[in-house]
Amino acid sequence: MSDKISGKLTIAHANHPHRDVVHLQGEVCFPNLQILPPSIDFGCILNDTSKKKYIVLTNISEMAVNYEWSFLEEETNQLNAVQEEDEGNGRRKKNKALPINEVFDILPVSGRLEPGQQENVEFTYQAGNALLYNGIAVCSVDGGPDYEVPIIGDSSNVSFKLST
Amino acid sequence: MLNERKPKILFETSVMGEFGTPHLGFSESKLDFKYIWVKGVASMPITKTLSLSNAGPLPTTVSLRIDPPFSCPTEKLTLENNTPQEISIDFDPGMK
Repeated sequence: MSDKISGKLTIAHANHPHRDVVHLQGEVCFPNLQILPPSIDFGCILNDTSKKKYIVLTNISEMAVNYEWSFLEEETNQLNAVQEEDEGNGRRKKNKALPINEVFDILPVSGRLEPGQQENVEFTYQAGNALLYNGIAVCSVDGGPDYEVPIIGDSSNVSFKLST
Repeated sequence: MLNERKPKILFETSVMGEFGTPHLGFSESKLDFKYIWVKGVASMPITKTLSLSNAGPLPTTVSLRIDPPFSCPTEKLTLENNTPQEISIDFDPGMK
Protein backbone atom coordinates (compact mmCIF):
# COMPACT_ATOMS: atom_id res chain seq x y z
CA MET A 1 0.00 0.00 0.00
CA SER A 2 1.12 3.55 -0.64
CA ASP A 3 2.23 5.35 2.50
CA LYS A 4 4.19 8.24 3.93
CA ILE A 5 6.82 7.66 6.61
CA SER A 6 8.25 10.40 8.78
CA GLY A 7 11.54 10.25 10.67
CA LYS A 8 14.30 12.50 11.88
CA LEU A 9 18.05 12.86 11.89
CA THR A 10 19.19 13.96 15.35
CA ILE A 11 22.58 15.62 15.66
CA ALA A 12 24.07 15.68 19.17
CA HIS A 13 27.11 17.78 20.06
CA ALA A 14 29.93 16.34 22.16
CA ASN A 15 30.10 17.93 25.63
CA HIS A 16 27.08 20.10 25.00
CA PRO A 17 23.37 19.41 25.47
CA HIS A 18 22.33 21.22 22.29
CA ARG A 19 20.60 19.04 19.67
CA ASP A 20 19.83 19.76 16.04
CA VAL A 21 17.10 17.94 14.13
CA VAL A 22 16.55 17.49 10.39
CA HIS A 23 13.11 16.16 9.49
CA LEU A 24 12.85 13.33 6.97
CA GLN A 25 9.89 12.11 4.97
CA GLY A 26 9.72 9.06 2.73
CA GLU A 27 6.83 8.34 0.40
CA VAL A 28 6.17 5.02 -1.30
CA CYS A 29 3.74 4.91 -4.21
CA PHE A 30 2.22 1.62 -5.32
CA PRO A 31 -0.78 0.93 -7.57
CA ASN A 32 -3.78 1.40 -5.28
CA LEU A 33 -7.53 1.44 -5.74
CA GLN A 34 -10.40 2.82 -3.74
CA ILE A 35 -13.45 0.53 -3.73
CA LEU A 36 -16.82 1.94 -2.72
CA PRO A 37 -18.92 0.59 -1.20
CA PRO A 38 -16.52 -1.88 0.44
CA SER A 39 -19.06 -4.75 0.50
CA ILE A 40 -22.14 -5.90 -1.39
CA ASP A 41 -25.36 -7.20 0.14
CA PHE A 42 -28.03 -8.26 -2.35
CA GLY A 43 -30.53 -8.97 0.40
CA CYS A 44 -33.14 -11.66 -0.21
CA ILE A 45 -34.70 -11.94 -3.66
CA LEU A 46 -37.13 -14.33 -5.30
CA ASN A 47 -35.84 -17.67 -6.48
CA ASP A 48 -35.01 -17.79 -10.20
CA THR A 49 -34.57 -14.03 -10.47
CA SER A 50 -31.46 -11.91 -10.59
CA LYS A 51 -30.33 -8.59 -9.12
CA LYS A 52 -27.53 -6.20 -10.05
CA LYS A 53 -25.47 -3.97 -7.79
CA TYR A 54 -22.59 -1.67 -8.63
CA ILE A 55 -19.37 -0.60 -6.98
CA VAL A 56 -17.07 2.20 -8.07
CA LEU A 57 -13.35 1.58 -8.56
CA THR A 58 -11.14 4.67 -8.41
CA ASN A 59 -7.45 4.70 -9.20
CA ILE A 60 -6.02 6.77 -6.34
CA SER A 61 -2.38 6.16 -7.30
CA GLU A 62 0.07 8.05 -9.47
CA MET A 63 0.43 5.29 -12.04
CA ALA A 64 -1.94 3.22 -14.19
CA VAL A 65 -3.49 0.24 -12.39
CA ASN A 66 -4.21 -3.17 -13.90
CA TYR A 67 -6.71 -5.21 -11.93
CA GLU A 68 -8.50 -8.54 -12.09
CA TRP A 69 -11.44 -9.93 -10.13
CA SER A 70 -11.73 -13.45 -8.77
CA PHE A 71 -13.54 -15.24 -5.97
CA LEU A 72 -11.89 -16.51 -2.83
CA GLU A 73 -12.63 -20.22 -3.14
CA GLU A 74 -12.31 -20.98 0.56
CA GLU A 75 -15.08 -18.58 1.39
CA THR A 76 -17.66 -20.01 -0.99
CA ASN A 77 -19.43 -21.76 1.79
CA GLN A 78 -23.12 -22.28 2.04
CA LEU A 79 -24.40 -20.96 5.32
CA ASN A 80 -27.94 -22.22 5.58
CA ALA A 81 -29.11 -24.89 3.27
CA VAL A 82 -32.88 -24.60 3.32
CA GLN A 83 -34.79 -27.79 3.17
CA GLU A 84 -37.83 -28.04 0.92
CA GLU A 85 -40.83 -30.30 1.11
CA ASP A 86 -40.96 -32.85 -1.65
CA GLU A 87 -44.67 -33.07 -2.40
CA GLY A 88 -44.48 -36.40 -4.20
CA ASN A 89 -43.39 -38.65 -1.37
CA GLY A 90 -43.32 -36.42 1.67
CA ARG A 91 -39.50 -36.60 2.02
CA ARG A 92 -37.41 -33.52 2.74
CA LYS A 93 -34.56 -32.87 0.36
CA LYS A 94 -31.59 -30.58 0.75
CA ASN A 95 -30.81 -27.99 -1.94
CA LYS A 96 -27.35 -28.23 -3.43
CA ALA A 97 -25.13 -25.14 -3.22
CA LEU A 98 -23.73 -23.96 -6.54
CA PRO A 99 -20.12 -22.80 -6.99
CA ILE A 100 -19.87 -19.14 -6.05
CA ASN A 101 -18.77 -18.10 -9.54
CA GLU A 102 -22.02 -19.49 -10.95
CA VAL A 103 -24.11 -17.52 -8.49
CA PHE A 104 -22.33 -14.18 -8.71
CA ASP A 105 -21.06 -12.52 -11.87
CA ILE A 106 -18.66 -9.58 -12.17
CA LEU A 107 -18.36 -7.28 -15.16
CA PRO A 108 -15.76 -6.25 -16.23
CA VAL A 109 -13.69 -9.02 -14.74
CA SER A 110 -10.43 -7.16 -15.44
CA GLY A 111 -9.29 -3.79 -16.68
CA ARG A 112 -6.87 -0.90 -16.59
CA LEU A 113 -7.44 2.47 -14.94
CA GLU A 114 -5.36 5.59 -15.51
CA PRO A 115 -4.58 7.82 -12.49
CA GLY A 116 -7.80 9.33 -11.16
CA GLN A 117 -10.00 7.29 -13.52
CA GLN A 118 -13.16 5.64 -12.20
CA GLU A 119 -15.07 2.60 -13.34
CA ASN A 120 -18.44 1.12 -12.38
CA VAL A 121 -18.23 -2.61 -11.79
CA GLU A 122 -21.45 -4.59 -12.12
CA PHE A 123 -22.15 -7.45 -9.72
CA THR A 124 -25.02 -9.79 -10.62
CA TYR A 125 -26.62 -12.27 -8.27
CA GLN A 126 -28.42 -15.19 -9.96
CA ALA A 127 -30.80 -16.57 -7.37
CA GLY A 128 -32.04 -20.07 -7.86
CA ASN A 129 -32.35 -22.51 -5.06
CA ALA A 130 -33.35 -20.79 -1.83
CA LEU A 131 -29.86 -20.63 -0.41
CA LEU A 132 -27.82 -17.97 1.29
CA TYR A 133 -24.48 -17.41 -0.46
CA ASN A 134 -21.70 -15.67 1.35
CA GLY A 135 -18.39 -15.18 -0.41
CA ILE A 136 -15.51 -12.83 -0.99
CA ALA A 137 -14.71 -11.22 -4.32
CA VAL A 138 -11.02 -10.35 -4.61
CA CYS A 139 -9.74 -7.49 -6.73
CA SER A 140 -6.05 -8.24 -7.40
CA VAL A 141 -3.98 -5.23 -8.40
CA ASP A 142 -0.77 -5.78 -10.37
CA GLY A 143 2.02 -4.54 -8.07
CA GLY A 144 -0.46 -3.65 -5.35
CA PRO A 145 -2.61 -5.30 -2.73
CA ASP A 146 -5.53 -7.71 -3.04
CA TYR A 147 -8.76 -5.99 -2.06
CA GLU A 148 -11.40 -8.26 -0.53
CA VAL A 149 -15.04 -7.37 -1.06
CA PRO A 150 -17.51 -9.41 1.04
CA ILE A 151 -20.53 -10.36 -1.02
CA ILE A 152 -23.79 -11.87 0.22
CA GLY A 153 -27.03 -12.90 -1.47
CA ASP A 154 -30.08 -14.78 -0.32
CA SER A 155 -33.14 -16.11 -2.15
CA SER A 156 -36.48 -17.59 -1.27
CA ASN A 157 -40.00 -18.27 -2.50
CA VAL A 158 -42.99 -16.22 -1.48
CA SER A 159 -45.32 -18.39 0.57
CA PHE A 160 -48.48 -17.61 2.44
CA LYS A 161 -51.36 -19.28 4.23
CA LEU A 162 -54.96 -18.18 4.50
CA SER A 163 -56.70 -18.80 7.78
CA THR A 164 -60.40 -19.74 7.54
CA MET B 1 42.76 48.79 71.02
CA LEU B 2 44.35 46.61 68.50
CA ASN B 3 46.18 48.20 65.80
CA GLU B 4 43.97 47.21 62.82
CA ARG B 5 45.56 47.25 59.42
CA LYS B 6 43.42 47.93 56.48
CA PRO B 7 44.07 45.63 53.49
CA LYS B 8 45.55 47.42 50.62
CA ILE B 9 44.54 46.47 47.09
CA LEU B 10 47.58 46.21 45.02
CA PHE B 11 46.22 44.73 41.84
CA GLU B 12 42.69 44.20 40.37
CA THR B 13 41.94 42.04 37.34
CA SER B 14 38.71 41.86 35.37
CA VAL B 15 37.93 38.37 34.05
CA MET B 16 35.49 37.94 31.13
CA GLY B 17 34.20 34.75 29.57
CA GLU B 18 32.12 34.08 26.48
CA PHE B 19 29.93 30.97 26.22
CA GLY B 20 29.83 29.73 22.66
CA THR B 21 26.75 27.69 21.75
CA PRO B 22 27.29 25.23 18.89
CA HIS B 23 25.49 26.43 15.84
CA LEU B 24 25.10 24.32 12.74
CA GLY B 25 23.77 25.25 9.33
CA PHE B 26 22.06 22.77 7.01
CA SER B 27 21.62 22.82 3.25
CA GLU B 28 18.02 21.57 3.77
CA SER B 29 15.83 21.81 6.83
CA LYS B 30 13.78 18.80 5.62
CA LEU B 31 14.58 15.96 3.23
CA ASP B 32 11.84 14.37 1.11
CA PHE B 33 12.21 10.98 -0.55
CA LYS B 34 9.78 9.43 -2.99
CA TYR B 35 9.66 5.90 -4.39
CA ILE B 36 7.34 5.12 -7.29
CA TRP B 37 6.72 1.45 -8.10
CA VAL B 38 7.67 0.33 -11.60
CA LYS B 39 6.65 -3.12 -12.83
CA GLY B 40 9.58 -5.55 -12.98
CA VAL B 41 12.03 -3.18 -11.29
CA ALA B 42 13.27 -4.06 -7.79
CA SER B 43 13.11 -1.28 -5.21
CA MET B 44 16.49 0.28 -4.36
CA PRO B 45 17.47 2.71 -1.57
CA ILE B 46 17.19 6.37 -2.51
CA THR B 47 20.14 8.53 -1.44
CA LYS B 48 20.18 12.28 -0.79
CA THR B 49 23.03 14.51 0.31
CA LEU B 50 22.89 16.90 3.24
CA SER B 51 25.52 19.57 3.77
CA LEU B 52 26.43 20.54 7.35
CA SER B 53 28.38 23.68 8.21
CA ASN B 54 29.65 24.88 11.56
CA ALA B 55 28.52 28.48 12.02
CA GLY B 56 29.88 28.64 15.57
CA PRO B 57 33.30 30.02 16.58
CA LEU B 58 34.78 26.69 17.70
CA PRO B 59 35.19 23.28 16.09
CA THR B 60 32.51 20.82 17.18
CA THR B 61 32.20 17.06 17.16
CA VAL B 62 28.75 15.69 16.51
CA SER B 63 27.19 12.25 16.60
CA LEU B 64 24.28 11.37 14.29
CA ARG B 65 21.25 9.26 15.12
CA ILE B 66 18.59 8.45 12.52
CA ASP B 67 15.21 6.69 12.52
CA PRO B 68 14.66 3.67 10.22
CA PRO B 69 13.79 3.16 7.37
CA PHE B 70 16.21 6.04 6.90
CA SER B 71 19.91 5.43 7.43
CA CYS B 72 23.18 7.34 7.45
CA PRO B 73 26.62 5.72 7.08
CA THR B 74 28.25 8.56 9.06
CA GLU B 75 27.98 8.16 12.83
CA LYS B 76 30.42 10.82 14.03
CA LEU B 77 31.78 13.98 12.48
CA THR B 78 34.08 16.86 13.44
CA LEU B 79 33.18 20.15 11.86
CA GLU B 80 35.71 22.95 11.65
CA ASN B 81 34.50 26.50 11.56
CA ASN B 82 33.24 27.51 8.10
CA THR B 83 34.18 24.19 6.49
CA PRO B 84 31.00 22.46 5.28
CA GLN B 85 30.87 18.69 5.08
CA GLU B 86 28.43 16.48 3.22
CA ILE B 87 26.73 13.39 4.56
CA SER B 88 24.48 10.98 2.67
CA ILE B 89 21.05 9.95 3.90
CA ASP B 90 19.41 6.78 2.54
CA PHE B 91 15.76 5.82 2.40
CA ASP B 92 15.00 2.16 1.79
CA PRO B 93 11.41 1.75 0.49
CA GLY B 94 11.71 -2.01 0.89
CA MET B 95 11.96 -1.63 4.68
CA LYS B 96 8.60 0.12 4.87
